Amino acid sequence: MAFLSYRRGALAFALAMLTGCASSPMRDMQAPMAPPGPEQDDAGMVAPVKNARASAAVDAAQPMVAGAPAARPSAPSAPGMPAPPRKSGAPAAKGTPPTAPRGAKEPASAKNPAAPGVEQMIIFTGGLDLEVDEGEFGGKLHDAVDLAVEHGGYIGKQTDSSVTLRVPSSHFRTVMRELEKLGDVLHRSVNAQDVSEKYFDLKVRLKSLLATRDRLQKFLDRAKTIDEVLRVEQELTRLNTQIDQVQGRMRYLSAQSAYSTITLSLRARPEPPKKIVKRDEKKVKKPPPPPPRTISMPIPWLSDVSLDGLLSLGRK
Amino acid sequence: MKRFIVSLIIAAQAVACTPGLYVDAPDGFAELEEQERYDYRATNAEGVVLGVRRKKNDPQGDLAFWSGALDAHLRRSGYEAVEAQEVTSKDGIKGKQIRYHRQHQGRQHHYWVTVFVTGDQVVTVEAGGDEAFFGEQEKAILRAIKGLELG
Repeated sequence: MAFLSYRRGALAFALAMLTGCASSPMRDMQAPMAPPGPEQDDAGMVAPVKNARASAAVDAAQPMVAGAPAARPSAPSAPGMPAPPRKSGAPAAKGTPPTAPRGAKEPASAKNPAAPGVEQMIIFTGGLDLEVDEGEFGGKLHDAVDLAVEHGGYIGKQTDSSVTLRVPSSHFRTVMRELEKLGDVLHRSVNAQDVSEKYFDLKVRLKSLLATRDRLQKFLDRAKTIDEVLRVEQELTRLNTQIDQVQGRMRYLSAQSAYSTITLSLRARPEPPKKIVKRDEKKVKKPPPPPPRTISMPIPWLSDVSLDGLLSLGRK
Repeated sequence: MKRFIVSLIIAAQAVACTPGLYVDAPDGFAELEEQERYDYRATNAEGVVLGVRRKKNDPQGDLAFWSGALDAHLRRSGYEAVEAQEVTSKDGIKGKQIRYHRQHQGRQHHYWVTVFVTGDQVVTVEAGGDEAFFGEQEKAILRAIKGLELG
């Protein structure tokens, strides 16, 4: 009995440790991950990075308690501390200029030169305001969509005067250049968001969660009572949920970096001002004055006086 | 002999003049007979014509009136007045001559109208023809007008 009691105590302690290392970060993570929109990337991704670090730190300490595998991806140390070298090559620091999205032909390098082996993941967002003739809006928008489709893209949203296109990141610059030819460029903007670090942190976190799940699986195999089985399975369910969320987030970042977003807005070209010609009074022909007032002379023969009558050589 | 001389004078007047009017036609002009609206009309071979009318001074007007009335009539009819001058007949009657240009059958023509007023009569002398031939006859025509005897 004493042995049994000791064993239960050990299992409870191990579960408590596992739960403590996995649950608290995930509770923090659930809120930002729920609506994974591009606009919320910054807010949504800061927490996972911190949590991943915390999780990794806990994971690193875990083997001493539960005998879990010691191999763990290293995580960045606390702020202000020198970062340990990453095995797979850490993404570049945030100040590093972006090079290319994953799989991009242009800009040049798809690999982070500072950390070989880590793919750069950059989300490109472009904006273009063009001035075209008012009657050409429909045709120009069609041309823009055709251009995106030719480059393997698709239409995201369209209004009467704008269209949002999604094109493969490798064709981002080409499509932007082609779109600029559709009208007079009023405004052009390109935004590149490097999500390599966020992606890498998610990857580390996923690995940690998977390892924890493996350990729980082993606990489940060794469980002797129904109570033990239920508690382990409960933890396993929660872990699976977290794993799904992390994987979803990773898929989202992959998709975002694989396709770039270009928003094209059209504006009507103002009509040229009509030339106002000053009326030159001298050049304007004045209407002829009315004929002078005359009286009809009661002299019938006056009308006979004429060149025609003179030159008509008859008996007249 | 005396009867013969009188007959000769009467015959000469019948040929070259109407009663009270004598016209010395320019050389090369032939008088046209039996004219209804003209008291005298003559033409040369190139179509330059000289015509004279005598009308009653009714309404009674002076030279200014009749020259003005004729000028107004002709201007209204599209004649372009280019010159005006005074002329005097052989018997000393003052008249007014107004010279016009006029397109006729696609060619430029000259047309002179000279007016004399002799108390109860108004005498108009018209001369006209193609610009190409009229110039040659201008002096002869003017001489004939100044040689008029209005009686």
